[in-house]
Amino acid sequence: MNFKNLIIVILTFLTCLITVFSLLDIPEFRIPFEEFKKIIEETNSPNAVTAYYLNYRLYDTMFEVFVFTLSVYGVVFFLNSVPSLEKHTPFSDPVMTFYARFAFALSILSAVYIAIVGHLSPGGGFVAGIVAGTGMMLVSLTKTIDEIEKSFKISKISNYEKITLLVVVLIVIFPVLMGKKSFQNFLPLGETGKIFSAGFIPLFDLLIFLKVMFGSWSITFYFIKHRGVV
Amino acid sequence: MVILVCSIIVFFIGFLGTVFKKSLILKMLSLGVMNTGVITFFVSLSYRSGKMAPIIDNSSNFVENIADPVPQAVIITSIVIGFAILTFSLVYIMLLTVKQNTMDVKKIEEEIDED
Repeated sequence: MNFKNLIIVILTFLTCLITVFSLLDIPEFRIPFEEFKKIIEETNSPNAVTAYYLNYRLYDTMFEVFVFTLSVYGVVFFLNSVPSLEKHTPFSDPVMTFYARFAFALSILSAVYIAIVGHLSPGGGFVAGIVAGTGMMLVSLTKTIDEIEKSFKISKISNYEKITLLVVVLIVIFPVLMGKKSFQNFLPLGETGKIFSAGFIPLFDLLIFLKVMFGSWSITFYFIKHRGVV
Repeated sequence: MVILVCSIIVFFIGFLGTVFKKSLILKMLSLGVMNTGVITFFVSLSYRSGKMAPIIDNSSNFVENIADPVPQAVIITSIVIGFAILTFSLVYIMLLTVKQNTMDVKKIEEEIDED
């Protein structure tokens, strides 16, 4: 290790120490219960985290979805310039095949459940999308490329993905036509604790679920198509 | 508090990895470690005010020691975005290595200087 590297390690260690010691006297913040109750009454969603990121901070979440879409398109665009593999060898082990398909059914079921009760219990669109995408990746490890393209129809999925993004933007802009501000809740709040309540929060959960599922699925599909299984 | 300190240490381990590793893929994986450190930091920051999840159940109307929902709401989107950005950069590195036939940063810089 030469002199320059030693200086970098020492400086990093010092910065780490300073950061830790600056955190020692951080005041313990506690959210007042009245504030908490006010959030839940305003948005009518018992999960306060969902109330924040799909109602108060919707502007931020919308652009995060944009970033996700852009990176998925980047992956698809750059991988299309690489020639695809001629010979695919999927896992042919019967135990692996059976359990991958079983796990696929289970993960799709649990993902839809997590997505539609995102405002009542822990969960939400992002988590559900990743769960469903992992299930799709598992089942596509055990099939050949032609079978995957036949059973999932990748071209239709990429069309649905674009439509989902359009629908998100339209729902965000729609309140302007009704005389309200944009990014404002325009659906009825409903009864607390029911699935169809809390305005547009379940709608956005479902849309983000579809978006993340299709996005992560097309990432894994193009990786398997152009680089093989292992 | 222990988790808070550990998350900062994980972040700086990832930082040292990005500086010292010469392979581009290992540099990207170190960025992923830094991302994990930041996520753990935010989660443990919200955990300081209480241990209960910020969800009101139908049965119990009053919840004490609620965790702060704001840092969790800030960081929940970043997990999926981190995954997408990491795959995108991996694809870009793949194209670069196909073109330059090496993954070493120094060799790539030398080849660029020669041209």
